Amino acid sequence: MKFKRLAQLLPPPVGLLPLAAVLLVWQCVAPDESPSFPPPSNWWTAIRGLTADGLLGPAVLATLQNFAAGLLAACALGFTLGLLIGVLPGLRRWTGMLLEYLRALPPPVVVPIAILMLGFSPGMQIGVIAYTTAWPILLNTVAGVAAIRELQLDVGRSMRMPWTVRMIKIVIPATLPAFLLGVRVAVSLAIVVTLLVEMFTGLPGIGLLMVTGQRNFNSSQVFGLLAVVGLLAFCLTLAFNLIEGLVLSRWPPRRSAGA
Amino acid sequence: MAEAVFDLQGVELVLPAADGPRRILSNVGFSLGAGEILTIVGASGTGKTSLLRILAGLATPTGGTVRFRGQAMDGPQDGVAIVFQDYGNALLQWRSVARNVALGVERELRGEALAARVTEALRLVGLERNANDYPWQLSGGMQQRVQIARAVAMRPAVLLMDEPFGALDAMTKATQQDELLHLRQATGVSVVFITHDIEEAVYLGDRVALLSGSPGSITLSFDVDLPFPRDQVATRELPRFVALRHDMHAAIRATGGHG
Amino acid sequence: MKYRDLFAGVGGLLVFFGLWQGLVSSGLVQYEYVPAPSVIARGLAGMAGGAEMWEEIGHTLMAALLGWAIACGAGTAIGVVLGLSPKTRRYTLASVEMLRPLPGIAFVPVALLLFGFSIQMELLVIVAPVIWPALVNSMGGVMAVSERLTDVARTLRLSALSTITTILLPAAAPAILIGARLALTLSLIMAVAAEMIGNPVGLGYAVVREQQAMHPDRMFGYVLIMGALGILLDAGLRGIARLLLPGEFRRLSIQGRA
Repeated sequence: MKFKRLAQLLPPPVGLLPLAAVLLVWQCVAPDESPSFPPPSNWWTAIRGLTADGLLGPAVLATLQNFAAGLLAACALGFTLGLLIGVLPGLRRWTGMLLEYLRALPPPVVVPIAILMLGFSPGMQIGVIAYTTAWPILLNTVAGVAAIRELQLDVGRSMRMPWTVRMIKIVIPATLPAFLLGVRVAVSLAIVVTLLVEMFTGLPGIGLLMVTGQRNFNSSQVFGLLAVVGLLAFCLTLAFNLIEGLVLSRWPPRRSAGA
Repeated sequence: MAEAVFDLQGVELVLPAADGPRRILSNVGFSLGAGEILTIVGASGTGKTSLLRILAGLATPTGGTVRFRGQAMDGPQDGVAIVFQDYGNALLQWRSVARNVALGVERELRGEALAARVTEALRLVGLERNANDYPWQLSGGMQQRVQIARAVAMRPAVLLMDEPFGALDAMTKATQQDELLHLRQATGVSVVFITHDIEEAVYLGDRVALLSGSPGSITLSFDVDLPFPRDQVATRELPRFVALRHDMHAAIRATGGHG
Repeated sequence: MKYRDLFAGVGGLLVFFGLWQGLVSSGLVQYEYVPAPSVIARGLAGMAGGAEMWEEIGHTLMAALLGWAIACGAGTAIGVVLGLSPKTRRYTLASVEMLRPLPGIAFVPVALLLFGFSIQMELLVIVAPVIWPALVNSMGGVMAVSERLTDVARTLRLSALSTITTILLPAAAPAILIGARLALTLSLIMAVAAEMIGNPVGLGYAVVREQQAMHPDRMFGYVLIMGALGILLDAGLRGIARLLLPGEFRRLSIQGRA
């Protein structure tokens, strides 16, 4: 049952053929010492070198830790504020334009601001990740609350539920799918921001390893790390899909299977 | 007729609209006896749903008095349960059938007492086998029965029903009508049943009231002297049934008709 | 938008900046690197007088729009093909799903190695992630339409080509536009990121430069410009879409925010 669910999340594995073909051709065509397009076997050697030096493991761990801490903080922040703004229509109207504007700031530019205000620290990194990724969660949560029908609340009122009980039994569960839609966007954004902060500030993590490799013109290391990041991002996305699938198994299936 | 369950006198309702205040109901008065089924017929736009929301305590009339068991209403009352037309939103889609039925009583009952109450209600509507399904897995007729079971589980003195069978096909509708009559027989509940279907109103009602005009008011009200138990084929062929239906049509035509 | 909402929205903005101004200039909040809005406005006015800021805006806009056009063109074309052909989907979709989560930012070191400090470097960093929303949305749009509408096309006896041009593409246009809209937002983000840690030009670099030069007023000025730019780009695309697809886009434009 669980395996079946996992299998449904993935397209048929024969679809990996084009990717495999590209890598194979690359391996055969690229000269061994190519400074721009080193063959995949050299990536592997470079990654094994990093592992042997004890550099890769701690870097991956640091990146994952900051990613997770930032994302969790963003979930708490975005959901709480989103719920609050959603249930208070007055607040929603008054903050509407401000939120649209703050959301439109490209997340990368938050990094220099945070450095000015908080200095170079892991706390700054987590703060930046949390701030930038809270937006999609917040806005989707607000939209989710706004989509609740008056009738759904009437059901609770007619049963004489106090508003706290209505929140817990009706509003929050009804908002959950929209919240998770926001988290889906936040997951990929959080990966980007985590790496960006590492590259920009030199705080430890995969991003720093990549930049180091690039400054040393070690193209095999850069491509190898690109593959590692890709694999990591793929696993994180898959893990999110799995969690979302489990949580939402009791909700009606989503109608559009778009992005 | 014993003491009236509901007693309305001179009820007025004015609601704000985009183009200024709009009168929805004007001088509505009637009373509902214990164990009685009162059907209210009206075309769209005559304020049927607003009237039901007033009875439920979800809307406050801007004039006149509404008494429930002799007391003036202030919000939703114990002993009053509603069945909405829009079952898709009235049921909490993320709760199983059993947990939906439990919604109105789970704060006062726990454990086995709760389970027994839910099972009893589900048995009454013939859904005891679907306790663990989710609403979105059921047909429209079954979902509406879940809503009725949820209301019945609260052991209400009055059941308010807002066009509950309006969205169902003819066959399902007929079955549901007979189940409602059977339910009243079994529990002695009083019912206010709103519909736009004249035949349905006559078939179900002990008494029929006609809500018409804009703002809506009750322009005709009479007892239905048809024998019980009623039968989908035999009752509808009785000369008396045909005559009552005829009178209703004539009254509607005299007051300005549908629309 | 209703007037009441507009009024409240503008009011909210005013309250925000007014509070900021009041807290800083009254000395209640003393933070060396957070200038009052009036100081930022003066900095912005000073920059607007010179040519540098406009050149930086021009560069970032150009990079973002060029990258967006390339990514949308390629992504939509591939997406439509994949949407039309279940067989092609079967033999490529896993590759797409494998590559799609790869964060664009990870391409910065690769792009620097390949192209050095150049516009090509920015374009690679933009196109690599931006192609996916265009591809996935157009594929989804075509798939959703083709199931419903190809029967119609068959009863009308349309040829394969006219089925695609007269039925499939117009019907899938709203989904394609949603993809294009997500892509545009992402393009600006990636252009700024590429300029911050790669190619030292444009608005992204300007923010870093002013931060390192300890000019917080000018830094915040650039940040405010970028927010405005993001909103203007999005509004521009929505305006064009509304001209092309009256009615239809308005209904769908609420979905798919990033």
